[in-house]
Amino acid sequence: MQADHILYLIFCLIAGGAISAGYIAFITLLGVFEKLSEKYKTNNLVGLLETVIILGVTFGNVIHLFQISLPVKIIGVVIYTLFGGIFIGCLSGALAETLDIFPILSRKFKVRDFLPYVIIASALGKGIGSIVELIFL
Amino acid sequence: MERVTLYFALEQSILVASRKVHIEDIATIYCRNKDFYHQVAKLEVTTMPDGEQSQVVVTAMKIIQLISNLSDKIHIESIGNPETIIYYKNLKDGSKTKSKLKAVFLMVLAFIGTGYSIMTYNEEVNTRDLLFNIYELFTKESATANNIHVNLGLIAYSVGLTLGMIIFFNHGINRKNTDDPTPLQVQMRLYEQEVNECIIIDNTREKKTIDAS
Repeated sequence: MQADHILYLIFCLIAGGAISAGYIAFITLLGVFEKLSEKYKTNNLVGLLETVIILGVTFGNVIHLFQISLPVKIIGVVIYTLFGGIFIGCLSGALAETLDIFPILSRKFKVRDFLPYVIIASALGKGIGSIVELIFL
Repeated sequence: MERVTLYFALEQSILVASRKVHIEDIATIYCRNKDFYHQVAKLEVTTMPDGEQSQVVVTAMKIIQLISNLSDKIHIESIGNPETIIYYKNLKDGSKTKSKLKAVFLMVLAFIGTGYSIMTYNEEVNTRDLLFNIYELFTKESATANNIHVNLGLIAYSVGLTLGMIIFFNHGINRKNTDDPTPLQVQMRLYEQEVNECIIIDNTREKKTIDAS
């Protein structure tokens, strides 16, 4: 192993650190987990939640980056992608909320009473759009 | 006879386990006259609605009314929040299993969801090819998937990813209680305060608060 190899390793290490810190800051700022755990009144589990997040990111990153095939059959894939989809849905919902889309729209169009329907409609739209994009295009 | 000053400070929000709520449950009280202190502490504020969980907003004005009904000789000072939210949670065995199941669901979501979203990120920016290109940039050799040094770089990236999160969450082995709370904890408390404010405003507008009358 030569000096440039070691330089490359150090570069990769620091790159990973920067990316994961940015990723976690993004998730924390969007507030996916605090909203979920407030909803479920599991506030005393913050430490465990952080550990699980760290493990989850490490696991997902490793199996994707090294393209490891796991013996989980179709049911494992379905469970993994189902929860992945739930999380991405939460993420996009939280992003919309952080950008104050719904409060601004509801003030502008005076649709306060219909807000639940607006949210359900946007969720359905996301689901249908995803199906159309993944299957029919 | 001289009037005795009684100070009370309402909490911002409080979780109770019994349906009968007394003043001592939702506020800290100080009074030099011990008789008044004990009488006031045991005053009943409200009875929580039945059910698994519920919440009511009580104003400081209501507490003042209750105490001044007790005796004319007390001078009342409120130094806490003008309103407080009382959360009631029925702690039966059934609800405990339910909340455990919810916690398990949250953990599974955290594990799989974050893993899946880091995969989408890696896919989006094409991390593999990027790291291969960087290898070629550093070493002037062409990178192949079976090259041990290239794969060491991928491992270093993964280790860096984990280390970055541990540093961000301040989550090492030598974590002490005196350390700053983690970013997630700070965000959680901020969010809790916003929720409390929202509940208070909503209840006040709909005139559902337990107020002086």
